Amino acid sequence: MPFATEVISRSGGRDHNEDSCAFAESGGAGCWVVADGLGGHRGGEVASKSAVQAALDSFNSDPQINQQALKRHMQAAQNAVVNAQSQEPGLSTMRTTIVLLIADSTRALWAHIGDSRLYLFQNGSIAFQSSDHSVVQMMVDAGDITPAQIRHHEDRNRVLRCLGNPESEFRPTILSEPRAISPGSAFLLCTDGFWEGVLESEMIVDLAKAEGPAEWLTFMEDRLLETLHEGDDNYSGIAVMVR
Amino acid sequence: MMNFNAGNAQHIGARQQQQDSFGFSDPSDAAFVSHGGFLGIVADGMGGLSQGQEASSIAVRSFLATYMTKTPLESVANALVRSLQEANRAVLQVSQASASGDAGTTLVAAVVVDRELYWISAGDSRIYWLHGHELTQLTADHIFGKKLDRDLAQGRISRSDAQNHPERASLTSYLGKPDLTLIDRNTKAVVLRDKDSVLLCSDGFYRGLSDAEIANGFEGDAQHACDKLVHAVLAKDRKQQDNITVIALTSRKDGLTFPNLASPVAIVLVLLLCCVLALSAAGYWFVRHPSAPKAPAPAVQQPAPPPPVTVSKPNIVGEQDAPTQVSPAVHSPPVAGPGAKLAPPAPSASSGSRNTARTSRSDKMHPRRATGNAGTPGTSSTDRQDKRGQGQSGPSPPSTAPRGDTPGRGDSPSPGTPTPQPPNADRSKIDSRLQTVKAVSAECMRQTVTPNGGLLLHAIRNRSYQPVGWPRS
Repeated sequence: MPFATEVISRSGGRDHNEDSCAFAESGGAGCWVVADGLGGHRGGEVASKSAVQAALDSFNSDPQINQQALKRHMQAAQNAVVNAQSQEPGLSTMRTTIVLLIADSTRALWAHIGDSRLYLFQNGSIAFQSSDHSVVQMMVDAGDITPAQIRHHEDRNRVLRCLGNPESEFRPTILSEPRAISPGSAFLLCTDGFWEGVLESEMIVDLAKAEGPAEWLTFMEDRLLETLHEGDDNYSGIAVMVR
Repeated sequence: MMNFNAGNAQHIGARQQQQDSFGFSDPSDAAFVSHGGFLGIVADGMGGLSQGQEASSIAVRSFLATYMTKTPLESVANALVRSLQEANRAVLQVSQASASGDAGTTLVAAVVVDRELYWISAGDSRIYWLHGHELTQLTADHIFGKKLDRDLAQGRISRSDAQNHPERASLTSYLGKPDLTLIDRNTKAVVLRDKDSVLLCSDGFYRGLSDAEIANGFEGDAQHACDKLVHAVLAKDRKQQDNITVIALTSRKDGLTFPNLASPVAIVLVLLLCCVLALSAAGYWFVRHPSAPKAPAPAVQQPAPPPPVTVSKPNIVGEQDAPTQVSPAVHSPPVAGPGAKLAPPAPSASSGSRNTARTSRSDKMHPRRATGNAGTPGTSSTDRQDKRGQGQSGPSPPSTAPRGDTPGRGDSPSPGTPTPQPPNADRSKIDSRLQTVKAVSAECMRQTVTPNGGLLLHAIRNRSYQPVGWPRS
């Protein structure tokens, strides 16, 4: 495969991990998914797991790199969460963010909903960073705060869009045209618990140090752990390097 | 095309010896600079008596000398590894030749070639990248606490065990270690932008300042910024302040405010100014050091003029008598002569802080000893409390530090010994150092460049330094 992948997902300062991540590779193409569940009583865990699994199933049945396929994967994830909500009354309020990447060795496409992020690194800098569906991102867009203030803002946990809302509110951001990638390109898909603990410049530095995706994640996790306190969020990330 | 502006500042803190060393490569060697760039190094030595000084000094010299053998065909990243290994061998020799066999040093080195940054590190000295007011730590500290944090994250130990472990701050990598495998370095370049700075520093520097204080305090000319930051550390008036060293490289697309060096008139002006200033610097040198040796001497054999550590001139011990310079520029504390090891304990007025210096250093060496009772509950050290801001001991989970890696030390604090507090006299000493720090750092600058003909020439060259670029393999 043209990709080297490593996954990390931990409960952080909490008892339960409501994040889910998984990936699949099929015929030279791959699909990588990270989701951050919301809604206690194990609801968050169920929501993120079912969304990730549904997206991967959808990819496996149609491993193409185009926007239509990507839209179907996102819709499959949404349907899975909504179905799971209706099956168990206690889980009716569960929700999840999701970020999804599909790629072959030369092209990549991605989509997200919520505040889980995708970063693309090329030539030692960030070539793309997804824009969160969150209150603080709106404040940044409005010029009220700077991007640097997001990580410490009191409203940083307020997500504006996610999977599991009624269909009318299902509004993912989906990249319209595939982006060209090449050996040396690297992706990081991660939940807010991860990116809050690692600055973008630190991601760049650690990528410059890392021999592979496992080392990259370890370096970033070490930084994150320096400031992790009891009660802090779960953190999860998938690192993908194009070989 | 980038120009560079270099700065450095150093202070002994509240210690009796300056065990930090630093050095730069020669920025005026255009042929080398085109492929090898501009190199800065900081090393923080540890070990009893003079060995910490000797270790950091020889590490910087050996590293620099090895790096200068780099050819255009060798990659910068590879040359850095080779230089580090050579420096490690040199420190090991010092260590083996010493009575207690425990000399060691941290080392951080950074190279800027064209706009690309490469670095290498062993130990807990740090390199920062400053872009605007965004400060990013490039190096990971090689301390046992990292492993404890990872064990905690994976549920292998409890939070209190991880946070209260007495050996959190112990080094897991350093020069002077027979199996130096834990190295922090980049293999892919980090690309600098205009006005970015790279700071290399010892822990005595960064423990005194928050990231925000470093980022916001670094302003203007690199030399000015280094002076200002060392002032800021000293202004904290921390008890038992460790040696402080910081060096900086700042990139300037627009070069210096000084005249365009391509203009002949400007060159004449610059040279005239240099002559005047070099003469006055030389005059100052001879007034202060009438007996200073004139020729640069190689490596360690050259003993510093007098005296082994005494308390007669506390302000700049470790800095004032260090004329032993090799070219390219290395600044290091004087290497104590043979008499130093035999010197009797210092007079009681200074024994408190002297012991303290030893205590903290031997703490660093802990995990490399055959452990066991080294960190038993009840052992206390002020430095430790400084780092964690809380009480000493917790239950001691099995340490994974290699056993018997380094022989035990004779001068480690015995468990239960209360940490000596600095006598009141130390406070006034720190105050007086505060006032003299300007002179001290200016002197460092001069010493750094004496072999190349004077402080200002060096500074001007730094600023006009324009790497030509070279296809690197």
